[in-house]
Amino acid sequence: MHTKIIAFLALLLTNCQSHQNTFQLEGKWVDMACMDAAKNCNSRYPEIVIDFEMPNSLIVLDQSGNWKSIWTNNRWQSYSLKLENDYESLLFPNYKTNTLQYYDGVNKEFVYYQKTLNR
Amino acid sequence: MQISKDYRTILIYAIIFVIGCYFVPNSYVWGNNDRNCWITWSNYINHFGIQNIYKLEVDYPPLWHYFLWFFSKINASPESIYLKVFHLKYLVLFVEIVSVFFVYKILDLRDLKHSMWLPLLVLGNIAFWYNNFLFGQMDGVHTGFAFISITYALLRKPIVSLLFLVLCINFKFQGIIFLPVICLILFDELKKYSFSMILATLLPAVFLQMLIFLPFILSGDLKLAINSFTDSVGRYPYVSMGAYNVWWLIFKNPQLLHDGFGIFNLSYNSYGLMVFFGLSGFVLLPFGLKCLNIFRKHIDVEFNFENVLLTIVLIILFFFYFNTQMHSRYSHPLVLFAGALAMLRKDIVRFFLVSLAIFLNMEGESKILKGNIAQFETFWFQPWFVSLIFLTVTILYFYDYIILIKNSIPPKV
Repeated sequence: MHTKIIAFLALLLTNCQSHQNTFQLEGKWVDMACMDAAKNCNSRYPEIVIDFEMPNSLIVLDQSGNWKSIWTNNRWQSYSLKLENDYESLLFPNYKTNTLQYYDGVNKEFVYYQKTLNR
Repeated sequence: MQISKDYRTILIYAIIFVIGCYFVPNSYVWGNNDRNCWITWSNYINHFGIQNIYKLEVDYPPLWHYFLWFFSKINASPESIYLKVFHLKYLVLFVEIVSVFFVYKILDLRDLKHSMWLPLLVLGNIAFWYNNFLFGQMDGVHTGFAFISITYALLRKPIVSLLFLVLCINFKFQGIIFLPVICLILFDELKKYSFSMILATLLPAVFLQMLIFLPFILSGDLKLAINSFTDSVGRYPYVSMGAYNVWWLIFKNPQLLHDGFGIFNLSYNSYGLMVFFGLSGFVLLPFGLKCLNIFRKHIDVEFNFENVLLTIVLIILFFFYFNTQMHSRYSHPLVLFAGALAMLRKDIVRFFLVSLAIFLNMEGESKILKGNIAQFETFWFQPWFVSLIFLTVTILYFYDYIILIKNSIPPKV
């Protein structure tokens, strides 16, 4: 009986242990489809920069190669993203793979971003 | 084979639930703020566990996170969470339908004719569906828990009533507005109990509360979990946050006015709270006197469904109509309580007016059915007009309450 109680408590404690969130949002993120230079990159935003000093903006590199700032609603480690067809998407983390992603409501697919060390 | 009435009713409501789930749209209020919250919170819970959710500095009480945890267990990838977030509406709809089943049970206990079909007045009401189905919010859950708690309290089953009260307040802190009524009904019953019986009645509720808090206790985030109950209070300090209430009859646009301003050294927020507490205290006073066995010769109100539901409808109206910082959806609990009262009293006019006001306020503010965020031109959706409907129903229900008190005064011998 005691063993069962101890096993149950151990299970509970392991399942309820505290985890620190080490996900680092700030920095430059690159569309994973654009990482292979040999491939043609059709990304809407090949690169995205998250700067905590600009909480309501995302700095994005557009298809014509220009950097621009777009408005975003930033809450709970995620960023709202309005696409060209007025689809309101969300740039949010995958904590397991350490990537960011948003759903492209135009092409009906997810777009994934990986962090790069280049600033 | 004879199928019992209860089973037939369950079958009908189950069919409505399935049809509701089938047609549930992936729609949310403009800006998708709520949808984004549910996605990011479910995603976080999925990876770090429910016990760590308060590290993300979320401001909702614990029980909603259990719903998100359940949802994220079924949709275990971030992609699936994003694409299927509207499936959360199934869970809310389930609790809402269960609460309507309790309306049926009350009507059935009263041997009312057509008790099985009358609750369809609530289920077929767009004001009932708007909050969850279109808006993507979950006010129907704490409303449902409060309704079930009150039902059990009036049926003299305090243990179950307290369990649902704990669920209600742990789901949304606004559920606290039901606390005084439920406490008064329960006190009227518990005062007959011995000390050990009172302890035995309270213990399951305390145990349930501990159980809800357990993951946060184990992760060391209990303080954050407790703070979450009140964290959102005062977050948007405006006279109105979309509720078409009394403030729209006073100011041109209370949504732009800070509720810290005021007159005669009192803020608008304080005025709202004073009127809410004052009027709520007034309507609860006869029930309090009954509990304490005071002035029984002068006034003797009964703790029955009609009287209690009328009092609760008034408290929700006072809360929504006079307080500052109110959102349009905070009137949602009225649908269930006013609906149940309407069926008991066979009084459809007040229920129709309440439903109309709720729908006009929700659609007028969120414009989901309209499809764009341009202001409505028609007078039906103008805040002053909707506020006048709310004022009318408040006066009508208050008139009913005065009649109730008059009838509760024993004739002088």
